[in-house]
Formats: sequence, C-alpha cells, structure tokens
Amino acid sequence: MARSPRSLPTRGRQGFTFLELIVGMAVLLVALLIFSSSVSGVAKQRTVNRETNLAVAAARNLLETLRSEEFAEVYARYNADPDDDPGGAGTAPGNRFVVDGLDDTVDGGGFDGEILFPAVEDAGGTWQLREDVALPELGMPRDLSGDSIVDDDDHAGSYFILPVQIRVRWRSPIGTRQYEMTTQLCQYNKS
Amino acid sequence: MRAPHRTARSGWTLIEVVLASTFTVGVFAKAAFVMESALGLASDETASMHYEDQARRVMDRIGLAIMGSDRDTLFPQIEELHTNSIRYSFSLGLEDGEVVWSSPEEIRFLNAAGTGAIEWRENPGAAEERRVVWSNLVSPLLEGEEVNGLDDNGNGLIDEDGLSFVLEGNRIVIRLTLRRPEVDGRLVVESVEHVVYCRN
Repeated sequence: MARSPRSLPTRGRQGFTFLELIVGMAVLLVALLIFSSSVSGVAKQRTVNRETNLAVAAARNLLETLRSEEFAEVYARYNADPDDDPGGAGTAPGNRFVVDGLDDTVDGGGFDGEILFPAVEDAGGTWQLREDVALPELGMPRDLSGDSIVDDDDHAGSYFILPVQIRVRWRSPIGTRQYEMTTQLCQYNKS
Repeated sequence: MRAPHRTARSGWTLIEVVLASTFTVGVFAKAAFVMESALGLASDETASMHYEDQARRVMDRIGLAIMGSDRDTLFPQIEELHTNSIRYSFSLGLEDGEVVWSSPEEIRFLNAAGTGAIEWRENPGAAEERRVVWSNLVSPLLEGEEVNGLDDNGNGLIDEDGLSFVLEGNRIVIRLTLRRPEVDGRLVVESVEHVVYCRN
C-alpha cells in the first residue's frame, strides 16, 4: 500500500530553523566586524602615515630655518632660555614650535616640536652649552669649540660645531608618536 | 483516524518570518553601509595620499633646484610678499677661484582656463630656452584662499596663487596646493609647505 505523502519523512527538506538562521547571521556579523575592524586599522595607519609626513616636513623646514640663521646666534635664538635672546629677552623663537595638523596635547602647552642642544641648566637656572654632557644621541660628549679639548665650560659664545636634535611628539589614533631628526650645524662659508 | 503529523514541516510562524526578515534586512543593510563607507574612505584616503606624495615630489624638485642658488641673485627680491615665480642661477663650482654660475632658470606658476601648472624653464626668453611642466594639477589659488583681497587661510598672505614663494631673510618659503576632481565629482585638495635655505 502506497504511503500517504503526509507521512513521508520531511527532515531533509525542511530548510533552516530559526536557530540556524540566528547562528548564520551571527557568523555573518562576526565576519562583518572583522572586515570593518581591518578597514578601520588601515585607515588609522594611513592617518599615522599622513601625520608622520607632517612631522618630517616640519622638522625639515625647521632645520632649513636653523641653517638660514646667523650661525653664531642659532643656539641663543633657539634654546630654552629666553634671557639670552640676541634681540632682548623673549624676542627669539625659542626651543618649542607648533606643527599644524598634529594633536599637540601630549606634553601640554600647545607645542608639538622641540629643539634640543647639548645644554644643561646650572644651579642658577642658566642654560649652558656644554661639551661634557652625556648625550649619545647627539654624539656627546665631544669638542664643540675646535680646541680639541672636552671641558666643562659654557660654549654658548664659542661653538664651532653645534649638534642639534629636532623632536616632534604628537597624539595619533594609535597612541603617542615621536619623530626625531638629529644633525650637526657648522659655519657655512658662502662663496 | 490518525491526525496528520504536521510539526516537523509546519514552517515558521508569522512572527518568526517577520523577525527573521527584519533581522536579515538589518544585517544586510548594515553590511552594505559598512562596505560602502569603508570603500569610500579607502578611496578618499588613497586619492589624498597619492596627491600628497605628488605634491611633496614636486616640492622636493623645486627645493633642490633653488637650494644651490645665491639668495642675492634671486628674482624677484621682494621680501615678505608672495610671488608665483622665481628666477635663479646655481653654483656649478669654482674655476680660477671664481664661482661659475649656471644659466638662469625659472620656476613659475601658469594658470590657463582654471587649470594651474608648474613650469620649469632654462634660459627663459632666450632662443635656446628649454621648458618642462613639473605638474599640471596645481590649484589656481592656495588652499582656503579666495580672490577677495583678504587673508582667508590665515598664512599672512593675500590672494596667493596655488604656487607661492615668499622670501624671508635668507630662507624661501614655498607653498603649493594640488587640486583634482575625481571621477565621482569629489575634489581632492592637498597642500604642502617647504622651507629652503639658499646654500651659495
């Protein structure tokens, strides 16, 4: 006797259950989250690259500006001490600078960049350009005045070579970033 | 008579169908939104980076060209005001104790029918003049600037062109804005600034 269609086993053709659908959607959602997080990561990386380009350009521009200054006045004009500015206290640019386009909230004060020399602050609060400071990143200690002696005098008025580091720090989407450019300035004799 | 066994193939209830449909539509709508946003963002960022790279390459060429010149031989010599062209010669070395200078060269901004270009010329105006276009994507005006006699972008200059040179003491500040409409109509604008010190 033929079986009624109603009594045929239907298990293999009943489609998705609601639970299966939920699980499927959950898997799809997870895949979507992974995709969006990787896209977001790429976007963050691009932002970091763009910010790094800004920092590099700012450091290069500042270095060109330092080169364009009177060599004997570079230290006085760009150090942390406003009292020794050649044109009078507080008239020089100083050792901090702003980079447009970067978040300057890292160190406070609204500055992204800093210019560093081999200088130390003495007990009286005066900054001294010294040959004997231990700053390997600036190639120190070394002779700055050309007398072949590394001493503990202040060479702010007698330097022959001037190590300088330009440092830019900013807050990026992946945390605090820093770019440093180090070089040595010397008297440039124009023809 | 036995009642038909309907449970195994009774399908979804109406509420299940409504819920599933809503959920499916929501998920796929969100997926489409995320994909579109991500692709749009990636496209914007890629275009922006491409033009920023190009702007920096052009700026490096300009900087390297001017770097070997003598500040006192630049033309024009107007301090603190902007100009859209600069003429210079650079040192080729020494001969008998005298500096040998190159033929005069010029970098200038050209603006024709709203399309800006940077042109480099050797021996400008002479019979043996050579010229090369370094970029033809230059914006007619620097980013944020409008022709209204005001300093719209806050850089201290008024109505400056897409390429501008400013002489400040011994340094030259060069500003450049590239601009190009993309196929979808978006306008990609990238600006760079470069400082050059004349070495000779």
